[in-house]
Amino acid sequence: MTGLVQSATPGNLAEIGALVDGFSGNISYIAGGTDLVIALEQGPRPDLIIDISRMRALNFIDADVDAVHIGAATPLSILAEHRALAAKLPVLTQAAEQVGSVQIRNRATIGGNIASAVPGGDLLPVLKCLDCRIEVLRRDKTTITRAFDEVVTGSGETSLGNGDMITRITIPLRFGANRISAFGKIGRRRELAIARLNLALLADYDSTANRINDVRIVAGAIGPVPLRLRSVERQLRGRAVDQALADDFLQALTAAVDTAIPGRISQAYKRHAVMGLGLDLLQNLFAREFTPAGWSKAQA
Amino acid sequence: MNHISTSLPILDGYDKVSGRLCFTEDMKLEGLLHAKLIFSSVAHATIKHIDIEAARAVPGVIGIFHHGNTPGNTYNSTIWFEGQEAPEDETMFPGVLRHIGDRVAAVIAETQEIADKAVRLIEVEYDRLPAVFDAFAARDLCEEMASSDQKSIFEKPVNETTFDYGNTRAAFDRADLIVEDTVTTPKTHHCAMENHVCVAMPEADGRILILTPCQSIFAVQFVVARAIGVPASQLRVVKTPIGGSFGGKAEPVLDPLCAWFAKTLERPVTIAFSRAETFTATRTRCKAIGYIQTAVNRDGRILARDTDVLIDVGAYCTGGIFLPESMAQRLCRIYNIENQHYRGRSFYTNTLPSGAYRGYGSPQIHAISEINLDHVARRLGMDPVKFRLKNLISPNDVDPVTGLGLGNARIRDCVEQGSVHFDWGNRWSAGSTEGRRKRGVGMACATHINGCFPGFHEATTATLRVREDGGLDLTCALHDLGCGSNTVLAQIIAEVLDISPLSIVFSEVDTEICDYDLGTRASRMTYIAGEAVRRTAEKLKLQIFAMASLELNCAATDLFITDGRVFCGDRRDSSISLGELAAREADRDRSLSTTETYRASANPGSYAAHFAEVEVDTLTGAVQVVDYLAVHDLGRAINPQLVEGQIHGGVQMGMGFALFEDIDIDVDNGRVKGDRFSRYHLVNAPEMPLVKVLLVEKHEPTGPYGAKAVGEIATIPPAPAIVNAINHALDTNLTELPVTPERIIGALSPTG
Amino acid sequence: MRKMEQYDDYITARRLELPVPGGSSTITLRVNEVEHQHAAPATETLAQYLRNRPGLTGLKTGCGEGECGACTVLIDDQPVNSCLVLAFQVEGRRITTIEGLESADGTLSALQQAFIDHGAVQCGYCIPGMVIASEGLLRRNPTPDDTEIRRALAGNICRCTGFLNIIKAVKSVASANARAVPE
Repeated sequence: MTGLVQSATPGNLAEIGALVDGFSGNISYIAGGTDLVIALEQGPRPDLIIDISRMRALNFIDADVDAVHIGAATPLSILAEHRALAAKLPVLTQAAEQVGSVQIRNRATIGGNIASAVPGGDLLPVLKCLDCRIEVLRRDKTTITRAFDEVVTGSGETSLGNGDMITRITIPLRFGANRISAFGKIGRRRELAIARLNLALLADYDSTANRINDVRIVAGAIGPVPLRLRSVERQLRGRAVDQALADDFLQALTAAVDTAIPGRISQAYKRHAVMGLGLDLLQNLFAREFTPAGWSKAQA
Repeated sequence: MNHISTSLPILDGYDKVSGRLCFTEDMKLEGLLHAKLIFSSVAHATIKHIDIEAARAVPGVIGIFHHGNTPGNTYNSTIWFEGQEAPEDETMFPGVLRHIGDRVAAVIAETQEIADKAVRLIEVEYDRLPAVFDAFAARDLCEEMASSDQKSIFEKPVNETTFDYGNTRAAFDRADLIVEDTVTTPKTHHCAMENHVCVAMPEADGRILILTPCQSIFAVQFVVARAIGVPASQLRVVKTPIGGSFGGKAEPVLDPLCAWFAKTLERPVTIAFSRAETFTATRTRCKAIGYIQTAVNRDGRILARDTDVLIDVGAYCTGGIFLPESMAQRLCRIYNIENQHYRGRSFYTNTLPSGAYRGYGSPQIHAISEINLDHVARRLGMDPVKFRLKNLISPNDVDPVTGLGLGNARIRDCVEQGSVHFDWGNRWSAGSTEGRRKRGVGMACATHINGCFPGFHEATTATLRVREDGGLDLTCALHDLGCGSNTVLAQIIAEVLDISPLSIVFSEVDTEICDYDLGTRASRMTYIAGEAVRRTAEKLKLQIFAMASLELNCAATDLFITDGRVFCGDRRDSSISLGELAAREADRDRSLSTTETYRASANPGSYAAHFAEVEVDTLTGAVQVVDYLAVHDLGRAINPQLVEGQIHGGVQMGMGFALFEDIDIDVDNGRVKGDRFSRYHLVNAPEMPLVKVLLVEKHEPTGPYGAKAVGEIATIPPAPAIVNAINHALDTNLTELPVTPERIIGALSPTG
Repeated sequence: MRKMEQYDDYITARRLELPVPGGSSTITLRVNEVEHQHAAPATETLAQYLRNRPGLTGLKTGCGEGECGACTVLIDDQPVNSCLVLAFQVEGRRITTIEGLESADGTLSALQQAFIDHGAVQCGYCIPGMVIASEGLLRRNPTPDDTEIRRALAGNICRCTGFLNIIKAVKSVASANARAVPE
């Protein structure tokens, strides 16, 4: 209780290494602080807070031929407005621009979104969907690279040890020119709402043949961690994009929600709402109108 | 004269946009101590043991207060005059805790940080008691208790009111159609942006000074006096600038504690609630469950209505005390229904206490009746506007319960003009569209009161004095809650005396200098206080003329005031400024001032009709309000821009009531789920539709310059109008507020 | 309607130095072009620092979780919730609060004046945050449209005005900007 919290503002990774080296207490890294400051008010406090919000080395968006690299302390507002990124991975920029408010997006970071591991966190299903690799600078100064699932292990839980810091996120650029992606979210309001359900979709789509060669779909906020919807993916893989596909897609989404949260109070709602989200995704991806045919029939 | 019907910018706008206005939390006081409360974590319990030793040992902790060392005086925090009778069930720190958020103890320390830290070291052991979380369970328990010897707070309804006129049963028997509904409205929170806060400090003469953002300094004085057991004369209360109230700060929740701490510790003390504390430990709008049956004949005439309302008043009978009567009153001032039966009963539950909240029962009872009326219209196959027009009251009709006239009641004009403006007929008959997103239109009517007449003390006393610089000092306990009521009152005075409204200085709202006043409640500012200051200004004008006629050697009947100068007829050379007049009076050891008390003798209705169009996503249940028209009968808009602001804000709040807002008590344990803005969503800027405002200004003879109230009524019709629009879009009969996406999908879903 | 100055009866020291736990370090912030140096604990939020140390009480804390926007300030022209930033994180950055918008003689900025003129102000508690959030928008985008204004203010709650006159006020400045700089 009487423990004093120290602060540090290192200028580069080497300085962080020096700070952490031999420090015996609990360490918190702070970037945007949009989750951490609330936690500081309520819960146990660390012994050392290290501010990484101004470290240039952690604030970047780079791309090479087959991957995008994003510094962990890159604010969501930068992600949301990054045109080159939007061209490559709209799923990521769309998710970033739907997080919180302007004020939140100006502070919250991609690394913080992972470290907080909040079930409704909008970037989480996206990062899992994109099969990102998360680079972690460990307290012993070694660097490891882990898959999303290896880092985000539960609701608010990660495998990060005391003093471990996420440094960058690497996203493979799969499917070449066929790559399409989109994000959708349902909150209680249009803006500034925690996701009740969100969906990220990445596909290999041959537009000439109108065929989905491959697809990855991940849902958030229907479990402690983002959930890959393999059964839904199977419905889409290898198929032409048409109303029949839309019908099967929506039905599969509903079934996936039923499997994910059986008996939960929110199940009755989410199993329907996910169809709206699914339709939005299709329209977003293919700029085409699809009708919720099965739904209308069910109503009639 | 040109100060009426003009949009004078709000008087304290400069201080507000520059950040200068000093709210209670912005004051820096030497030696100020900070309090942190500890609240019950269980819904109903006695305190078995409380261990404060560890907290006491923290350096900087000055005092710890709890049930064992504070006065156990019972009080009711909703009284507003000395000696007022009300059930007294509240104590500063009760021995029996009645809800999660009830007050267990307080730590007072040199800094907020120390208090926050120390409070975590207090350990409380509870002996749990059975708890009740909804009005149905409370009603059943009351029925059980009636035949048992057990004593409990739940043994009988807190309050029960019935009225009955005509012969409802006979009318039901001859009706062509009876449509019944159960409409539920949630517990909601005011969400004033300023949290609850109070400062108290000992004065040199031993009295306690309370600085508090409140709605009535005198109510604070009397409640604190009761609670801490000192004469009211030992308390001085000053209203501080208020960051919104909406009824939330009508009751002194923190003031008794703060005054007691300051008195005991002989130091200034502040209690500043966090948002979560404001949500869980102050007041809410009550939850109401209305079972309503309306009997009509085939051509749409309402023959009779029977309304039975259960009110969940929460853990204490404080500001919720008058709800059954108030709802009754609101229910029969808008439609001509020859036979009505009403029963309103309020019950204790182990949940947040209910208090005043913008509209005081009106939003709930209008949601109940207006949603039901749309259902009736639907069953009759009739346009809901036409149906209402067959039944609405007309100007000068009489309130069947009180026998009082309703004044120049222009609800018919509101509905008629609004339906033309909204193109209602076409939009309603077009019905909802096909496809995923369905559109629908809905409307609702509403009425609200103007002041407390014929209740006690419906009077305002004002003193106006001409200063030697020609401006005016107004001394009156005018609690501007941030709506701009002072601006409106300044315009009224300026209109009478033709001076600049900016030259009027408003006195502090201070028990030391102001005459008794009810404070800001019951939509009484423009209508009652406005008429009071108008009459005071008129009386002052006579005094000015009497004096000026001597000074200018001119018959008083020839005098007139222009721009702060008194002129004699058309002799432009013969004039004297108000300031000079005051100076000359001062030379004679007199002052150019007057005091006037205005007692109300009427309580006309304010009326409104709101029209909404919604688009509902039938897959996600998301509702977007896409078009909105608010039509108000307010007699006259003294300041049209402020009126518009009241209506916009009322729609924001009413829309939240319809779609989002719910304190949401966990039925398993009484926990408050909606205790922060991330879990209790308000309508924010992207959700807000454009609101067109149409004013029906037909002059209310008893109001100042014909004006009536608008502040409370603005938030009454939005919820039923929006719910009716949703039901129109979806062909549903949703009656449980808020109409959340879950409830919409539940109503649409074939499997449920 | 008191201003802070008018509380002098009760106030003997307006800007008390708050007691600081030993070991706190000095935090130097540049606010409205003025440098402030105060000892403060590492966990002190920017909102607490600004309100309690230099006494810049224009910003308000309405929720402490970034949901209401009453504490909005600009950091290098970007609006942020000062309740969610630790003071030590923004040393050396350019901080703008409501007190920094008016000119030295107390003349309001065009945006502040627009708030008054369009009836965008009622109780005033949200207004400093609302004005600053709008200022941040206009610095990035001098001519925002209705949707952009609404999105930019999504994180600022007002319980009095229903937002519409606030939006109108911001739009009036945007229109003036559009006229001033013809494309």
